[in-house]
Amino acid sequence: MITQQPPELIADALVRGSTIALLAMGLTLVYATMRFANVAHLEFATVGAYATISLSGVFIVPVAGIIGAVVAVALGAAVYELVFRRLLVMGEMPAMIGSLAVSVVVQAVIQLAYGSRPRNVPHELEQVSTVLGADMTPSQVQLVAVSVSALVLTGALLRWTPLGRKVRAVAANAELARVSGVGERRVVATVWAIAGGLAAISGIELALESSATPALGFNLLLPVFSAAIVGGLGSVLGAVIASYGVALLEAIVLALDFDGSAIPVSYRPAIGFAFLILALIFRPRGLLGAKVRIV
Amino acid sequence: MFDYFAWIAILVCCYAMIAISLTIQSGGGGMINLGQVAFVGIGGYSVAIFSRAGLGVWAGLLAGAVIAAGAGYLLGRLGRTLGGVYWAITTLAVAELLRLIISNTDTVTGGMQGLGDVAPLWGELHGTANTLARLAMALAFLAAVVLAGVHLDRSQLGRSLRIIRENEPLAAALGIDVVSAKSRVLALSGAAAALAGGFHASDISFVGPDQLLPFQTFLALTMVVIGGLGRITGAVVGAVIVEAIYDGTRFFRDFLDLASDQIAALRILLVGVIMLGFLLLRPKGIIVDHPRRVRV
Amino acid sequence: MRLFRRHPATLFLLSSAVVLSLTAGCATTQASNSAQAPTTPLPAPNPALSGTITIGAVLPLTGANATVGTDQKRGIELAVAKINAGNGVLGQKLAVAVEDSQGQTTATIDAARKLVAVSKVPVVIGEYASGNTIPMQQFLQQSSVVGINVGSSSIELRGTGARQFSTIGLDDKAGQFSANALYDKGFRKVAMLAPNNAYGSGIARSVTDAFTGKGGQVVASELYTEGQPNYRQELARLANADPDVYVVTTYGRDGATINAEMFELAMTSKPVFDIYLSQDVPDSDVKAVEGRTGMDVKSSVGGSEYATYYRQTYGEGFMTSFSGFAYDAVFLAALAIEKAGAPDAGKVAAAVPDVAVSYQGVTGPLAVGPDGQRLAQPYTLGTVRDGRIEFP
Repeated sequence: MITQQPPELIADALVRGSTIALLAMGLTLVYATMRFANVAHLEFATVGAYATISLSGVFIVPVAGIIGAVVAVALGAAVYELVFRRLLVMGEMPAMIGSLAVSVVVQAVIQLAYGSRPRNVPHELEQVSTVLGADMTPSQVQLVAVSVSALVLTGALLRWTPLGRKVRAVAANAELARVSGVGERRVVATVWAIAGGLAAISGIELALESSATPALGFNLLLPVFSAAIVGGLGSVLGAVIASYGVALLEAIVLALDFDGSAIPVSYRPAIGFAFLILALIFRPRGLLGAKVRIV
Repeated sequence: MFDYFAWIAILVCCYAMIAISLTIQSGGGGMINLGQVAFVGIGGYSVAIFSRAGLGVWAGLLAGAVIAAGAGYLLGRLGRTLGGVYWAITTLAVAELLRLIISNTDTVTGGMQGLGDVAPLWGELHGTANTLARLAMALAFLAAVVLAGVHLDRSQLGRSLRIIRENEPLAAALGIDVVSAKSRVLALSGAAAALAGGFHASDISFVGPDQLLPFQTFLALTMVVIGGLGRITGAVVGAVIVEAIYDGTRFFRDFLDLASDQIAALRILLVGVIMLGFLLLRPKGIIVDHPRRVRV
Repeated sequence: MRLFRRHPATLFLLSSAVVLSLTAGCATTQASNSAQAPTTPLPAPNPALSGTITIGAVLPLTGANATVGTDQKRGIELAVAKINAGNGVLGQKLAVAVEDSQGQTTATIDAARKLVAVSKVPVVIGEYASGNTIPMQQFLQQSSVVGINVGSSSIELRGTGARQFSTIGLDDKAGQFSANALYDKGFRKVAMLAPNNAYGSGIARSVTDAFTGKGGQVVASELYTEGQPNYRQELARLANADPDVYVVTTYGRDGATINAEMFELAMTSKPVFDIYLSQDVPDSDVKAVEGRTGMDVKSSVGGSEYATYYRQTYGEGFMTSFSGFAYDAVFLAALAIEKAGAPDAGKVAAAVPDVAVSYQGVTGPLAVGPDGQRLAQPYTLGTVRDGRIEFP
C-alpha cells in the first residue's frame, strides 16, 4: 500500500521532475543539434549555483541568480571554444570522454575554491504551507514555478520563432539545414546558451531549495541521462515527459510500504536506472525518439 | 621507507591491470566502458566474502573472475541494441546500481562500512619478507594480465576487434559476429579487472563501497588515454604516470597551506587536466607509433 | 562563439565576471573567523627532557566530521603539553604525529600505514567514525601495533584484536542509556533516524533492542545516506509513522540540513531526542533545535580542571564532547609506555589494562575489560536553549 496521498506524490514529482527536466531538455537539445553527449552539461548547474551563492553576498538573490546563470553560460561558451569544438571534430566518443574530463575538472576547481562542505544562500528557516493538498515550502513552490515557466518559454521559442525553426531544422538533418542556408554556427551558439541557461537555473533553484555541493550537478547525471534517453535522445518533449515520469515513479516506489518495511530512500537513483536499463532493452528508440540506433 | 614505495608499486600494478582491462575494450572494440569499476568491485567483494566465510582468498579470486567474466559477457550482449553513447551511460548506470546495492545491504556486503579482516594472500610472513612477497605476487598478476592482453592482440579475436573499432559495418559485412566478439573481450576484461580488485582487497584487507565510485573508472580511463587506446604497454605506462602524479601529490599537504579536501581537489584537478591535455594534443597516446613490420 | 572572436572584449569581460564571483566566494570563507576570548599559551616543555618518543594519531581533520577531528586534536595537544611540562615519558618528550583521515576509510588506512611504516609508531590513536576505526584497528592488529579508539562506538570494536583498546564507551551502553531515558520520560512509540554507516546502524540497532526490551515500540527507523542536499523523503516516512518522539543522531552538515528540514516540515512540534547532542547541535540553526533534549557523553568528570585548561588555551568552551577522550588516550598511551619501559607495541599492549585501572581520566574511570573496551561510561542528559546545550 502507498503511504502518501496523490497530492503529495505529485508535489514530490513536480519538484524533483522540474530539476531533471530543465537539465534533460538542454542535454537533448545539445545532442540533437551537435551530436554531442555532454557529460559536463550538469556542471552548468553546479557553476550557476556556486556563482549565485557567492554573488548573493553582494546582490539580492534574484539578481545574483541572473548573473550566476550568465556566468555559467559564459564559462560554457569558453569551454566549448577551447575544448569541445576540437574534440567534436575527432568524433562523438572522444568528445564524450573529454566532457567527462571537463566535468571532473570543474568539480575539482569548485571544491578547491569552496571546499567540499555544502554551502547555501543564508536564509531564514521557512515553514511548509499546504498547496492543493500537499505540504510545500515556499522555495519548492518557487522552484516549480520558475522551472515550468522556463520550460514553457523554451518550448514556445522552439515551436513558434524563426530561430526555433532553424534549431529544429538542424536537429532533424544538419547537412540539409546547412545546405539550405541555416546559419549553423548561430544555431549552435544559441542552443548552447539556452541549454546552459536552463541547466544553470536548475542548479540555482536547487541550491536555493536545499544546498550546493561540488557534486550537485554530477549527482543528477544518471537521472538526467535516463530521462533524456528514455524520452528519445533527440526529442525535447520526450525528455521533459520522461523527466516528470521518472520523478513520479521514484515518488511512488519510495512511498510503497510492504507491511511495515519500505525500500530504503537511498535507492532513489536506482529506480531511475532500473527504468533506463529496462527501457533500453525493450524500447531502445525511447518514448518519442525518431532515430533508430544501429549497433 | 621501502615499505611505502613497495606499497605504491603494488598499487601501480593493480591499476595497470585495470587499465589494461579497459584498454582492450576500447582499443579492441571501440567501446567506452564508464562502469569498469563494477568488475573491480565484484572481484574485491568476492574475495572479501569468501575470505570471511572461511573458503579462502584464492577461491574468492577465482569466483570473482568468473562472475565478472559472466557480467562482462552479458554487458556485451546488451551492446546488440545499444550504440556507443547509450552503452556508455548504461555501463555507468550498472556500476552505480551495484554500488548502491552494496551500500545498502548490511548483511552480506557490510553495507556502507564495507568488509574488513580480509586474509592476505600470503599469510604467515611479517615485515620485509611480507612486503617482498606481496610485491612479487602483484608483479606476477600483472605479468599474467599483460600476457593475456598480448595474446588477445595477436589472436583472431584481436584482429576482428581491430576491424570492428575502425569500421563496424565493414566488420559485419565481412562476416564477423560483432556482438560475440565484443562480449568475449568484455568477459576477458571483466576477469582481469576482478583479479585486480580481488588482489587489492586482500592487500589492504578491506573492501568498501567508496572503492566503487565513478572516479576510479575515470582514473583508469585517464591511464588508457595517456597510453593510447588499445595499447597494452601504453596502459602500463599510463598507470605509472597517473599513479605517480596522483599518489605523489599526496605530499602536497606537507608544503601547501590548504585544507585537506582542497588538496584532494587539486590532485583530482591535475589528473583531469592531464587527461584533457592528452585528448587534445596527443590523442594517439604517449607511445610513438611504429608501423608494424610486415614479413614478406 | 563567433561573437567571442569578433569581440574578444566580451570574452574578457565574462571571464572576469567568472573570476570575480569565484573569488567573492573564497573571500566569504575566510571572513568567517570570529574574534575569540584571550588565550593563554600551552605550558612550556620541561627542559630536562631529551629525545622524543613518537606515537601516531589518525583524525578526521577535514570532511564531514572536521569539527570533531579538530577538537580531538585539541585534546591531544593539551595532553602532550601537560605531559611534556612534567616528566615526559621515560625521560623523553612525547610527540604525537597527527595524520588526516579526511573522513574516508581508504585514506584512514593509508594514513595508518604511513605512521606504522614510515614513522614506526607503537601506538595509533583514532579515528572517529566506526566505519573508519574498525578497519584501521584491524590493520593495526595485523601490523602488531597498539590502537586506541577515541571516538567510535560501534560494538564491533570489541572484536578488532588483543592490542586494540577504546577510551570511549561503546554503543550498547549509549543505546541502553537512551532507551532508559526515553522510557522514563513516558514515550512508548519512537521513530529513529541515523546515518547509513557503521556508527548509525549500530546505534539504531542498540536503541531498538534496548527500547523494545523495555516494552516500547519502534514505529519507524530510517538510515539516511550522507551528503545529500535534502532528506525530506526520510523525514516524511518518520512523520507518517506517527510516533511519540523522534530520536535522531546526526552530525556535521547533514545534521544541520536534517534539523532545518524537521523545523520546516513542522516536525518539531513533537518532542525530539538527540543521541550525542554535541555532535549535532553546534552546526545547526538555533530556531531548529530550540528545546530539543538528548544525551551525551560526560566530557569532563572529576572537577572542572580540564574544562578550565581547555578554555584558557582556546578561549572558548568545549567545541564537542570528544576532546576529553583523545586527551585520556594520550595519557593512557604515555603511562603504558612508561610502565612497559620501552615504546614497544607488545609490551605497551600488555601494560594498558594495568595502567587503565588506576588512571582517573577527564572522562571518568578508564578501566578496561578483557576485550579492551571501557567498562564504565558516564552519560548525561541535556537540553538545548538558545543554541547552547545545557547539562544539569
